[in-house]
Amino acid sequence: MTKKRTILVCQGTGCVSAGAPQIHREFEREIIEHRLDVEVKLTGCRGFCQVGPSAIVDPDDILYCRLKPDDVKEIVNSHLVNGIPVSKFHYHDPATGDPIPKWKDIPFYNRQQKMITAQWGFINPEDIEEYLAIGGYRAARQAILALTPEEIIEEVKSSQLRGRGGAGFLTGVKWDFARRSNGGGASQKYVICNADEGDPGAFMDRSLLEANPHSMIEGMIIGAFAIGASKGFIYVRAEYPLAVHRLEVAITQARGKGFLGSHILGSDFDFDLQINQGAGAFVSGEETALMASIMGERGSPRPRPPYPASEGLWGQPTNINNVKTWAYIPLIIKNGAKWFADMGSGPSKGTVVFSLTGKINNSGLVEVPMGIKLREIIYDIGGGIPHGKKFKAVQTGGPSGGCLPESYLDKEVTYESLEAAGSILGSGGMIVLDEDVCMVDIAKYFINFTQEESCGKCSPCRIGTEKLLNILEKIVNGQGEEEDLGLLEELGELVKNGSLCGLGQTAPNPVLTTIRYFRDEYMAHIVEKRCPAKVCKALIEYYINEDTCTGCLLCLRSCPTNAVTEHEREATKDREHKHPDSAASKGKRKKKKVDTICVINPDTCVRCGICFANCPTGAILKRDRPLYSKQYAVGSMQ
Amino acid sequence: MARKMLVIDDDPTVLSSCQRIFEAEGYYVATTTSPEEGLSLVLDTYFDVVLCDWMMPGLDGMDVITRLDHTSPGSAVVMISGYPSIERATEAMKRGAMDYVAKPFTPDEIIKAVNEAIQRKEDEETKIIERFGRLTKTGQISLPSIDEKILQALSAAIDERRRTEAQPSLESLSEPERLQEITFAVLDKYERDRNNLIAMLQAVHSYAGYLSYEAIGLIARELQISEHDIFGTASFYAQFKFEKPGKHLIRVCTGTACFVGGGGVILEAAKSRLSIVPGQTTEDGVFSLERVACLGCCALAPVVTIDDEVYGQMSPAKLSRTVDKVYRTESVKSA
Ligand SMILES: Cc1cc2nc3c(=O)[nH]c(=O)nc-3n(C[C@H](O)[C@H](O)[C@H](O)COP(=O)(O)O)c2cc1C
Ligand code: FES
Repeated sequence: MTKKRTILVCQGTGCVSAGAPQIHREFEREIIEHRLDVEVKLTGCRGFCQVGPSAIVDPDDILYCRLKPDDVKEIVNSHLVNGIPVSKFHYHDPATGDPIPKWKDIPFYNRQQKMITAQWGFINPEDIEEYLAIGGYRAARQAILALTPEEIIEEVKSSQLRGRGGAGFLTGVKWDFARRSNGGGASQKYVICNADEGDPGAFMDRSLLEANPHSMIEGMIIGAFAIGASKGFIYVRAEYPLAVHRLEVAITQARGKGFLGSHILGSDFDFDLQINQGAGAFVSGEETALMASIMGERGSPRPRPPYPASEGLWGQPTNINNVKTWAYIPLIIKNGAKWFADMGSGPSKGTVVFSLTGKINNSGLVEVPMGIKLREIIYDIGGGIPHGKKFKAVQTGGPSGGCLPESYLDKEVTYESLEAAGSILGSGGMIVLDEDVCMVDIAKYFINFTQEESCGKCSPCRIGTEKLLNILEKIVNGQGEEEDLGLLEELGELVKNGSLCGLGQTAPNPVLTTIRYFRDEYMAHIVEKRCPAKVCKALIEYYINEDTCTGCLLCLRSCPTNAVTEHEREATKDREHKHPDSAASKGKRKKKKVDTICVINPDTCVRCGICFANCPTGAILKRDRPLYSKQYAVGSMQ
Repeated sequence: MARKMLVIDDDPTVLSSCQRIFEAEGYYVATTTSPEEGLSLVLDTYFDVVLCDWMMPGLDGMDVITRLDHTSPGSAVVMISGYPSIERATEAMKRGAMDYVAKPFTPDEIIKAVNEAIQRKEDEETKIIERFGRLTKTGQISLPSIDEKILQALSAAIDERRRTEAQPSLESLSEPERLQEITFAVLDKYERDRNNLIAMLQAVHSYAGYLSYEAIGLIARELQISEHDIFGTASFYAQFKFEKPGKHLIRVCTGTACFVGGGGVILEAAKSRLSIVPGQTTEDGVFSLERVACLGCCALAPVVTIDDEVYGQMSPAKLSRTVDKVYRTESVKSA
């Protein structure tokens, strides 16, 4: 018997916001209308967010991309009724333009190595039965009923799994600490799942919770059993309402099946979970700050030691891991430590999940083996840089990471290699930057972020980041001096070494790596007072190309400072090139509408870039701002 | 008002000399040889400065500092010790002390250290207040999501209160009174325990849309903690708003992916279209503008949300059109 046809409609946050719920309803309606025996299923994110909303017809494996509600009728009619897939909604190879009907054949997918993301987008995250059907909770059963805590910890240790939340500490070793710690003879221990995901530009943790929450919950159950904890907390950002909702559903269902609560699976192991919603401070993702926040205090970090493993929540031994770290656990128990440790490179084992964004053709979530080359991620999976632009850098590790230049494209991606390059693997954010991005501006962006997020408790971080920001602002305003680079480096090292928590200890990384790899860009700003990428407002000006301007006046209408004025084309040209009374200009002047062009007054222009983004013909261009003898800065910038 | 000082040291001569020195400086000085007593004193009285010895029988000075940081976060703590070392000094500072002075000290030395410590503490507090000010201005804030059931329960509780006390409906109250009512209802729902502070703030915030000074004051009174403490906690989270929001909320993402994709220009366009900066509400009360760091749909960058709707691949023109559309529906509604 062939498997019943199912339409898998992705409903991760990205696809939901692109209209997936309407697509889902349309499919349901059309299927009822045609009286088909086809199921429409809600799933989590499949990673390829760039082409959302998307749907897969199972078991044919056909992927439909960028769906609009009106497209559904055609797909149902042609594919489901008549058996002919609709090729115009397939993914099209950007190079050849050929359709690729099966998702498995798309380069974005077929180069990946899926472990924890394997089920994403194929099971319904709000139905525990589907997780059970693919072997879910079998690892928990095995762990609780057949293994001792020591055996579990041994297994995790020999898998060499390292934390996927940032620091990359060996998970098994951390568990061992927590298990052995008696916290002054206390019996109560806790486990925490860190789902705060503060890195702006990363969304793998959220997607995991939305696509397969039970995998993480199962990991926590196994961990709690191994450590001897009876209570667990899941700390999720309040910005993630869908993830919170799916977690709540999952926890209720797991309780219903007896995987949470007292006497789990008939053993004498009790464990339950509680969701805590974090309220949006980056530093609350740091483990000690996170614990303070769970205890209702201000989420600011404290010095370690004592480590959470000896003194965590309410002074009791506590083990904290990232969402992804927890999700690997059931797989390791089920498939064995060797299965996991066989993949990877050097001491970095298994796979790693990246959220690939920025100037890249295929944005989305990718899971790749440790040790893969950056080039494979960016070009083979990611499809390269859009609009034929040139690659400039790749940023990993978010505000704590750094920017790596082209020469690193052929290096392996591991904890060690990225750290040696001055960046970090971090939680898995990966942002691709092209030639249009200014590296000084990017450094300023991150320092501005950490400066605002610094909790202010220790002075190296609070004052240091502010000073770094001031110097960078000076440079982008064209007032930099050559000593500033040395100062940035010196100050950066100081902040790294003197700060209390990981926020300050890593905050200078974006600055230090950009200086290390893009020094000439800094020098262009400082010496020539020029921004090579034409981003820094004080150093550029906008002008309009007369030849391509159609006089549509969009720029004029959207200019906040009325710096754009309208002129007659011939009249402006006349003033420069021609005699005002020449016959040619007289004839043309009558067709006024067509012949209007716009001109930007550089003195009143604040370089907000609105007209540049709005112009339908690309007639607005940027150029270096002519050097003014005294004043470089833009007066009217706020 | 005289500044208040507490000196904790097991050596009575230190206590008496500090008392002499600082009373001459116009301080009110309390002293104790017992760290435990010192820790209980700060619960009743607010001290601007606490001088604390390191080596004392019973409690270690370092632990006293840690506990002071919790129980009396506003006090400037200075550690005094006869066994000075750089490590101890750093340790003390990391735990929240403002300075570290070696014994024996001259009156001038200790006066200078205390004055500087107070100054630094004030700077630190200003930073918190500034941060709070900046947050309300730049507003990297997002809405808390809270259990629907709690809100319904809250709504019922408020109705109940209005009925039994034969009061006019919530809508007809003035804004401060409205906030007060909501806060009372929230206080009824939760045990008066500091562990519930964030939950209470979230409840008030979700129901009222923001936290007013009245609400914070009431909660402070009921939990018997300082308003400053609540403010410090609440302002720490970008989530909380302290001003009444507009009818529609526009959030412009400036997370890294959106920033690289042109989110900055979108923010400029929003500012220009609405004539406000992030954190503000338009004069007609229709729109509030906020800047957020990542909405988690980075693949759609640049992203804007209007109320709960997400708009991906935004452009200034698209934003302007969307704003116009909301204005049109608003004017239809009011007509
Ligand atoms: C400023 C700062 C922010 C952090 N944010 C997060 C976060 O959002 N998610 C996370 O899992 N870990 C975060 N961490 C790392 C945690 O402190 C901790 O190392 C991690 O949760 C441990 O889990 P792991 O061993 O599974 O990696 C952050 C650390 C710092 C210093
Ligand atoms: S950076 Fe804007 S949604 Fe993530």
